[in-house]
Amino acid sequence: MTKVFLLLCVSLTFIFPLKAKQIWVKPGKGFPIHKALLLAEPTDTLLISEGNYFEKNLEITKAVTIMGINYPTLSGENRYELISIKSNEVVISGLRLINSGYSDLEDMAAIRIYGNKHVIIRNNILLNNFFGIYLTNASYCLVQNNTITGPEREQNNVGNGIHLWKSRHNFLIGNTIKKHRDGIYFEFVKHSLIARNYSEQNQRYGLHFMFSDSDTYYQNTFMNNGAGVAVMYSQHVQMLKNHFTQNWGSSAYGLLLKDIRDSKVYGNTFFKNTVAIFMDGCSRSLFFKNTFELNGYALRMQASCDDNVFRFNNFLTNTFDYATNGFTVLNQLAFNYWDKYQGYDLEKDGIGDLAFRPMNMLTGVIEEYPTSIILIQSFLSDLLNVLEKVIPSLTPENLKDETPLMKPVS
Amino acid sequence: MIHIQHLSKKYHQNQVLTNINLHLKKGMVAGLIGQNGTGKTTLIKCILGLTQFHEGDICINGESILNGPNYRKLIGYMAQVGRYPEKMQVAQLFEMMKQLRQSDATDTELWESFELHKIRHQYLGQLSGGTTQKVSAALAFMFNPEILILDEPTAGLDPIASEILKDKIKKESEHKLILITSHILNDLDEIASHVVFLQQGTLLFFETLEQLKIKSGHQKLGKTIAEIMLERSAIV
Amino acid sequence: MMQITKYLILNILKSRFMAAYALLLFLLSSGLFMLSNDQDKAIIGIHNVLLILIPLVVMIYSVSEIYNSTDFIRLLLTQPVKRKFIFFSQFISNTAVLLAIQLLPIVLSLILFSDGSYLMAMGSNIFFLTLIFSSISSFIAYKIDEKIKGIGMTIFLGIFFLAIYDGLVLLLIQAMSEYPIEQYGIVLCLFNPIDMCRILFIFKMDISALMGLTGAVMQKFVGSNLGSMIIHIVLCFWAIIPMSFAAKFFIKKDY
Repeated sequence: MTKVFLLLCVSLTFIFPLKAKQIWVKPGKGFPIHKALLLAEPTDTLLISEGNYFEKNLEITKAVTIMGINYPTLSGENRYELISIKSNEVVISGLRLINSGYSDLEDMAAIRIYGNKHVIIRNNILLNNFFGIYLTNASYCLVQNNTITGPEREQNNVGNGIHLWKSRHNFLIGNTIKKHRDGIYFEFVKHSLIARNYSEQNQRYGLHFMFSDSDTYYQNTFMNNGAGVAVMYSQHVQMLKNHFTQNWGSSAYGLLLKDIRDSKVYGNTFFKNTVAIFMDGCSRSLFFKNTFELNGYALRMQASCDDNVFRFNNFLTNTFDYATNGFTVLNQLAFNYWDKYQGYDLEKDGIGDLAFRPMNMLTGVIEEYPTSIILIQSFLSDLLNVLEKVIPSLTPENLKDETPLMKPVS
Repeated sequence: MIHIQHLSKKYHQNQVLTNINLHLKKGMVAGLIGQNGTGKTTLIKCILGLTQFHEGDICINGESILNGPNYRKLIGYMAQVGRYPEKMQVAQLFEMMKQLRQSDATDTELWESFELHKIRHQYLGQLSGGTTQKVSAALAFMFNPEILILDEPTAGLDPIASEILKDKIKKESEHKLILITSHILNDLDEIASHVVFLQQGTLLFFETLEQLKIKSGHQKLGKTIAEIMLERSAIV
Repeated sequence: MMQITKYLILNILKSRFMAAYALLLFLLSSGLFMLSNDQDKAIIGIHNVLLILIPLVVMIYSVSEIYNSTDFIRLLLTQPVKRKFIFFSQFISNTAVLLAIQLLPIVLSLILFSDGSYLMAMGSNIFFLTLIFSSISSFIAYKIDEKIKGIGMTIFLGIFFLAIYDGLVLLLIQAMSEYPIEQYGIVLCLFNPIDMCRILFIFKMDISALMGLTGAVMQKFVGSNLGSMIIHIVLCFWAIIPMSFAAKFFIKKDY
């Protein structure tokens, strides 16, 4: 019976080939895309020709594909939300979306998805919008290869590049986000994949997420953002092979982890950040095979962190490798490479015979009395560090890597 | 030429010179004598301006030396132990002096008779004590100054050089004022016309050599002075 | 005055020490550039070394130079030259030679091995440190007659400014930790020329971002025109005041 039904289905598709039709839209008076949308039926494709379109707000309530040819420009004239998606299975691609409206009351975006599924937003150029791409209650959506550049305005009048709220199972892949408030913003977003995005020069965080569990971040680059990357109140987060680069400033972090549990930070590169990882209230997380190079602080840990494991990380030419404000150490450091390690390896097993203490005296003093940082790079601080090596007194006694590696982990 | 009035000088708490009054004129060769540490060198340094004094005044040709360093053009000075920059050559030293004084060497007699041109490319640091003294002497006379102040000029010189220098002093004494300190009283006997005797910072007497010899009845200055010193210590 | 300065400079330049010192500086800075994989790290390293070397070398060298040239000074003093001129000749010749000997190798290695972005900051610090410590050492050398005592004093002062002063600052910070004293950290630095040069340089490098709240407050001060003007004026005071005292001592001094 089922075989007969299948056969019927297959033959039907041959007899009635896809009903979907293509509708060409050209720039002109009135609202050409609106008109086309009225005509369109689900699964139809709107092909938008090159040119400028002023459509005010475009509300999509049918499962259509909107495809731009040679990047037609849709302008929000600084007053309107450009595209509001209120249907499942919508595809938006190849558009150039500029000048969305901005207000203090509404989060107006270039493209906003209102609680739908299976929407694809791909290969668009977004310029000078309040919010770039905004997903609320969305799931199984794909946001791919968009270039999103924010306006040259003050932070209060700039929204986030990609903003997700209460969404699940979404994919953000290969987008470039610049000059927004937060490059990527997540709140209550679960089971999503964020891969190969490039987030640069955003005014606040390159990536900012809160209450978003079980998400995976893979091969993203966060560079030169106002305050780096902030990850808060989440668990089961996987951060793999990301680059945190040049997030420099007196309140910038490569990666700020606050109240994170059971997460994994693996194979990331931290280069030239003020603080590579700042941790507050983190527990049971693994930090493996990360490379910290030329950072101010590589790890800065509040005493509220426990049961975290650091292994096989490389610490190279950081000003301070490790700083903590507590005297009890509840985290585990083992098998890391520290370029400041001066011990020896008699057995030639690649593991130093003496323990390494990553926190030096000055760091301890500064944690206790922040003003004493005016002594940074002074002769006295060098003296103190030498002294601390001989008689540890101001740094936690058991803060040490008993098995420091002799060579960097590759 | 040199008129010292009520000159007093203290080093910290030590009174080194007390109320010295002295008038030295052109044509005099004044031998400045006294025991060690009685302030001979200090007096000379005061005249040269090397040392500051607290009371009194020193006038040269009627003008106080406190008015500026120009009076030093009139003075040729030879130090007790001449010490010069070690890495400077003899010729360079003379060259520099000419530039400092802004004048040419007008009297090269000693330069020639000491045969200094033979060592003119040697470094001053490598010269022996005697040779250094020759250099000092040649420098002191070189600009034909009106006043010559010679601190132990013959000390360390070999007999020949010593004679040359003494002859030179005698020759110049007619139209100059020469102030000499020396422990070799025989030398002074030969060249001095006056004797200035200092004791513990005070001027004991200032008389011509003749008068002094007549008073004491000795022909030798050495004996005269020894006698005076003994007398003084007897009184004290 | 020019004549004397010229003779003094020629005299100093003949010493092997100067050539050796210049070579050492050049090798040191070039070596740091080659060993370090990052230009900024190397520059900070060089600057740190200079902060230690310059005060000590300048002070010990110029103090002993002043003592050693006593005879020459005595010779000059018997000539028709003003004491003021002799003082400045000696001061200028010492300072100028030290300045050149330190600036040349460092500037050369900066030009050869870096993009030259810190040339001005480094040069300005070398200039001020040399001037200030040369001025302080002439103060000591003319004030204290015994050579051993004078050199001892300079070594003590060098160590004082390098470490002891900062130690006292640390104690003070600890004692005052209950109070909001972030703003006053910079004031403490004004009393130590080495600290001032260090702070000036740190704020040229982006290391200042590490300094948190204290850094932000100080950045505001150092970064502003007024702030940097104040620091430079204070630096000038550090050079001028000991020098004018030294001149006073020299003019009154018995040789």
